[in-house]
Amino acid sequence: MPRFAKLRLVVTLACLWLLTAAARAEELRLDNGLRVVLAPDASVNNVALVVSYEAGSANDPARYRGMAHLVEHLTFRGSRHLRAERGSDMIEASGGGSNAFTYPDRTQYVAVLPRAALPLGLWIERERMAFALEGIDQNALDLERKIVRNEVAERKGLSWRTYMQRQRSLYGLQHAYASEDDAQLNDVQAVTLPDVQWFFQSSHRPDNATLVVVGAFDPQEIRPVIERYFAPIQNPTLARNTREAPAPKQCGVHRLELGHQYLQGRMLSMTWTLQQPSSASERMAVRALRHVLDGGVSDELVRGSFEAASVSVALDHRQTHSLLQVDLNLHEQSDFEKVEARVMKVATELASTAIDDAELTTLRGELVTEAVLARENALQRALSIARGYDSIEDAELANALDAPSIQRAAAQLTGHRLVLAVRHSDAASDGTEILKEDDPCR
Amino acid sequence: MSLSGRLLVAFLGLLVACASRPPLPLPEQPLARTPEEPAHAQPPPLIAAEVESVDVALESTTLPNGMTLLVAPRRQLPYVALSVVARGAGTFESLCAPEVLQLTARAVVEGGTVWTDGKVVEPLRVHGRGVEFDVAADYTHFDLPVLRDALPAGLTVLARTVQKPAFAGGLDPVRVHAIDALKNSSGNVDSQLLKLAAAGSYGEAFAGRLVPSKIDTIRKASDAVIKQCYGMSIVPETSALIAVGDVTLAELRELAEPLFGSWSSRERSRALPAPAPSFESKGRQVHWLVAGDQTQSRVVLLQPAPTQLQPDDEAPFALLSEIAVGASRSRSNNRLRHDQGVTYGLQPELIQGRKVGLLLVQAAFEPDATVDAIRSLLESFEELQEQPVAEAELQDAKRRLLARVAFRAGSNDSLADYLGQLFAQGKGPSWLGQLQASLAAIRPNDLQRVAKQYLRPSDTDLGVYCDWDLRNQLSFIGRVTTYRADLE
Repeated sequence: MPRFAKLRLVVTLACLWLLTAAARAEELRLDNGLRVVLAPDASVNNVALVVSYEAGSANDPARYRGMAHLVEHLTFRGSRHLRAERGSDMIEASGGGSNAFTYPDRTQYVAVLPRAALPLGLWIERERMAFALEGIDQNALDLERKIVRNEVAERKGLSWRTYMQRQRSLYGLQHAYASEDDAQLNDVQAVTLPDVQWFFQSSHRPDNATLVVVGAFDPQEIRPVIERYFAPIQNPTLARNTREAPAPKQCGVHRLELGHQYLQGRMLSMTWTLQQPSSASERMAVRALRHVLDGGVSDELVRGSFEAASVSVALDHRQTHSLLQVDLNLHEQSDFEKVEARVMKVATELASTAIDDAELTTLRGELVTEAVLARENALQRALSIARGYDSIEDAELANALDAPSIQRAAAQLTGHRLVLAVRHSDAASDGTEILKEDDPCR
Repeated sequence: MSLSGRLLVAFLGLLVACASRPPLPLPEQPLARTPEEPAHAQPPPLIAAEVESVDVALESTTLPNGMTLLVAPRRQLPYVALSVVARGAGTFESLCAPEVLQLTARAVVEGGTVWTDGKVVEPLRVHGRGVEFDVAADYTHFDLPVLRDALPAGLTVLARTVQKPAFAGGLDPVRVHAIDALKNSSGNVDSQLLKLAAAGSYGEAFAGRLVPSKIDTIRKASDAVIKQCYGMSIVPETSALIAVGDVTLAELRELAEPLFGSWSSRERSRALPAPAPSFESKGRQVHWLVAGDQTQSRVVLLQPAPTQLQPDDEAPFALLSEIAVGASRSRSNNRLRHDQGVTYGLQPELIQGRKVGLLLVQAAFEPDATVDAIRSLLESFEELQEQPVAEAELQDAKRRLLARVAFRAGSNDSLADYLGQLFAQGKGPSWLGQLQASLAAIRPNDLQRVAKQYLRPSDTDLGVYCDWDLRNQLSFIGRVTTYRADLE
């Protein structure tokens, strides 16, 4: 962008600021195994608290699908010293907000709090980790089964169904990541109280958890509070719930066409399985690839074009691999094959030719801007730390980014992939139906 | 599928699930091994003053062409959230058809810009970010966050985009994108239910502005119509440049005046002459969108609420809505989710614009519980009319509302967004500072007064999407009108 050549300086200046002003995260491990990461940051106005348990839907035992999600719900039903839902209530009244999410690899309890409410947030998480089972009775189980059923029914829209179909197509039905909603609902109905108690004890425990605090707090004040609250929590003696969730087997281009009754236009989704980055700079190269792919596909198919209304490119980091996914909302007349070919043209160019200096400078600027804006979001940083990296380093890494590393990452786009096309079909009366599938692995 | 059919399938599913799966290991006893510590049996106290404070320093001035500059200086991070807010360019304010207004806002951003040398340029980006827009009930805003050192470039791009749209290239791609966006926003069950309920209570014209859906209007809008809509909706006298972040008013003025100071409008800003139509009393009516076999029913309930032109009622009603349906522990969420488990939760929205006031509740319920859940919701409104809320409940609601405002002030982006909303509603820079005191003055009888004045639980229109099994039960709620779902 020659009009704004001066912006090149910005990258360096912003990085210098980030490097000097950033307080690095401090990590400690309590005797009971709980990993604690404290990242004070005076540039944000509140505090994010995340407790992440290394057990998610992939840890559901066979024929007990939905268990992790159900247990996540049940931990809001009170504890030894808290009435049901009182914890969320207290957080709301303090000016914060809280929620919980069950992902394939982990279950996370998150809160964004005013500084004054951080000890309260920590106390509530201590109650959950140490005493939640004392709040879960048969009545709570019956109610939360109903609520989970309603939650699952509510999200059965097109995007969720497409997501589930993608999981099944990538991993196969037996894989831990391919839990089906309908099966989950049946399984959850049959879960008993002892089942729930065992799952909680084997997964929601200090030696399976990471506690992260990011934002406006003083670690000298908060470290002793964490030690007082969490160090006395004892792990159960039974074994931790661990499982294998390998990368998907892929043999070429797996094509799948889905029909949906209420889809207005068309959708095309392309997913690549990427190797897990082995270093922080490789991770940044993959993020940079996401950016250039987004920009390239948008230029090719969205801006000033009649093919697609929007494009989004997402990265999903799993335990053993990552997924890079391009989703396109196409117009009714768009041709799937032509659009796919144009996406692959962008991908192949990225793999065969390194981006030039001007593009690299612009890209660094984009990534640094993203890092500065993300810095304000303490929760986003806390979640990145819980996943194993600190997003505060992103500006620094972006500045050191080189073109060959992006090209190496892009080389993975020319191989195996899943191509999922969705179009209108009157026959799909109950959500989506598979119209055509070509899986070279079979 | 009938109720008995559903029960049979559920029973069989349960039977299969129980019969064939291996048992899990037993939990260990005692369930919790952590010893009791009396010192930690109670939650730690909060520092109330710190929790409730909403502390935002604001500076403002007006340029000679009437455009407002509003700045919230913050030095913590080297970036500035920029926004141009056009008051009056809202779906309930502008004389343009709402579909044309949305097309116009999109064309401003996507339809190219006339640059200094008279050439038309594609939408420009600063560090990968382009101008984004949104059309709300009262206003349209154009946003661009930039790093501090890119502020001159960001302001240049924003100023040119908003002031000198080229509306180039016949706008065909822009039109296609606008049609696609309109289909997505209006072609779903909730939008259809909302439109039916709004048409029942306020008439078709109102519903058409609440849920714009006329694709033909976008197809047929000529370039001249779009330019006219731009000319009478987006003008300097009713616009503000808002900047939140690493900048002061003096710094912003120095950069912005040469860029925005020459902006002049050929046309006068023209708005809808009258407020939105009032609620029509016709008794309770159910607009039934007939569904196939569904695992859940969807319900949209609409209640009148005060507009910004009724400032004495605005804050009490916001508290009332918080207590009735707003919080995760609101009365209705307590009953329907936490105590009965018949829904995942209510989705309330309080729309308080200058010409429209609405309390909207959307929810999905278990089919068999739908009618009782609707009754329960309506009864909760009746309770608020009949009895004042408890002081403790009111205090909790006040804390939550203040906290939410403080939260919105927490990041540059969200504060810029909030200041834009306040500007569009005609609330000056002092309004935020007075919020705490004005909420403190509200008493339980104020809530009861606005509940009686606005809520219409026995005289309202509901949109319900459910299957045939509930046909007879729906008639116990009100007069039923049947519609066929048209989601294409």
